[in-house]
Amino acid sequence: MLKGFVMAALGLLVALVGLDPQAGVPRYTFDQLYLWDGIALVPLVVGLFGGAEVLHIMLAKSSISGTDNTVNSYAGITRGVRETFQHWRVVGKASAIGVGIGMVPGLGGSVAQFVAYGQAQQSSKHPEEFGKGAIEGVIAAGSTSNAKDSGSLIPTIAFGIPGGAATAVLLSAFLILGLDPGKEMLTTELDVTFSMVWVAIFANIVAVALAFLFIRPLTRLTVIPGPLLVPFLLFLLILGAFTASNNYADIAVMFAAAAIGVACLRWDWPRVPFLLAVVLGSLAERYLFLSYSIFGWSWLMRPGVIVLALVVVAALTQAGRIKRRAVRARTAVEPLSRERETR
Amino acid sequence: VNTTKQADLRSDVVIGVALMLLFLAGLWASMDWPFRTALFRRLVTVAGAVFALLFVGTRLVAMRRRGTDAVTGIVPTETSPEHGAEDDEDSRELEYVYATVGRAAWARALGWVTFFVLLLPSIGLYLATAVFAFSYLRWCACRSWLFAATYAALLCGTFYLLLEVLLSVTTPEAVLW
Repeated sequence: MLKGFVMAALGLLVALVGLDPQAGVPRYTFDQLYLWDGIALVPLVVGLFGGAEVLHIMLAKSSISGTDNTVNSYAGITRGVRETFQHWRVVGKASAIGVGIGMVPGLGGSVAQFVAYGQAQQSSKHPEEFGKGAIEGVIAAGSTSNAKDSGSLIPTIAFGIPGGAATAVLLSAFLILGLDPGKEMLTTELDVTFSMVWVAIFANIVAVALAFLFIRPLTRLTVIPGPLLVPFLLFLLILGAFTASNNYADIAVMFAAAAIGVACLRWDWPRVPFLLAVVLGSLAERYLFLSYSIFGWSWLMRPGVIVLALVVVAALTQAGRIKRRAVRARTAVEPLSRERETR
Repeated sequence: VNTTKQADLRSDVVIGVALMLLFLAGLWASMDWPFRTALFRRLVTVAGAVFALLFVGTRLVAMRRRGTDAVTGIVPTETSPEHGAEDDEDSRELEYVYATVGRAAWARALGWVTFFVLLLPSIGLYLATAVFAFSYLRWCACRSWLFAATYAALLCGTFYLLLEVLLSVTTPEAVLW
């Protein structure tokens, strides 16, 4: 857990690079104009996760899946559909979490996935199987992907506050078409709102149909030999990073993030708290500044803050307890398996 | 196994100390800024330094305990509570590959990436991809000349048609292209 905290602090440190939004003071910009706007998120994510994967393929020289498991893919599809219906409670809970988190601007899909995954793990009868192929974990994380987009539509339509990049684009499209988000979208323009709801449902059905249709060629991609993928992936990594602000510095950020990602994996440090802190850092600073400006230090004693702090402490205590239980279970299993191996 | 765990603990200590120094440097730099500009930065750096210090402390204690156990002949079976920071199959596989490949493989992989990065500002993304694809497939993946050339031409051509001609995506500028 301490590693997670250290990585989160590092992420916050990275998030605060750039001009101070209040006083305009450059912070850790090292006289580089590029850094005045802060570290771009896209090259960071691309490098942190994609860079590490590409280097892995270059080192291992094998395909992504390692083995050809595509022969029985249709059997897998029917099993997947069946298991989704069997775990309808997980689907329902994760979807509700996705909608709830999607409504909060700035939190994004990855937070929804982690929360839903954690909830599914806590409520599961076999929490020790999570991370080892437990289908409930996959279902929980997957269920949030569409639910959070639907949730982010609520503040966009009702208040004109976009929850993320996609809804920000949608909001600008509303304004181009002369639609004014707010009360009108829920009264006089309700038909437009409902047509959007139906479009979202129809689009999901079409997407699932296409996925069923192309599942076999798509799974074949994972058995392509690694060296054939390397030039292709490097091209996409560099182009993806560069498009953030059409600057060579984006590519440098991507490679720096890839180095951090590889170091994290090599020495077993978590990347996700780092990324979450980078994403939420500027928001946290803005609201800290607002709270301090309005209430001074007395904001720490407000009931809402105390309740949130208690929730955080309870969550951390519970997480520590689960982790200790897992360690104890692993400790009990290891000598037995070692004994079995020696026999 | 014991030596590996001891090495892991040592690397944890080194990384922890490096991060602690980074946080302290961040705190020191924020001393010149106005209070409101520096407020969040100071909170973050102080918290980061404290967490890093705690982490280094726990690792040092674990190292000492492990050392004592090795002297007394007790092989510790306890799994570190910090082990498996990203406890999923993909991360474990990546961690395994990174930990087990030799220095030569690392040097080769990083050399190829450097080659691509050096080509990029000289001849542009499309040509750099073609040259890299051909060289990588021919000399690293040991494919035939014909296969490597065909693959490189197809890859570069497809990307050029799709991104440059159809979508007009901006790519990094180069000296020669």
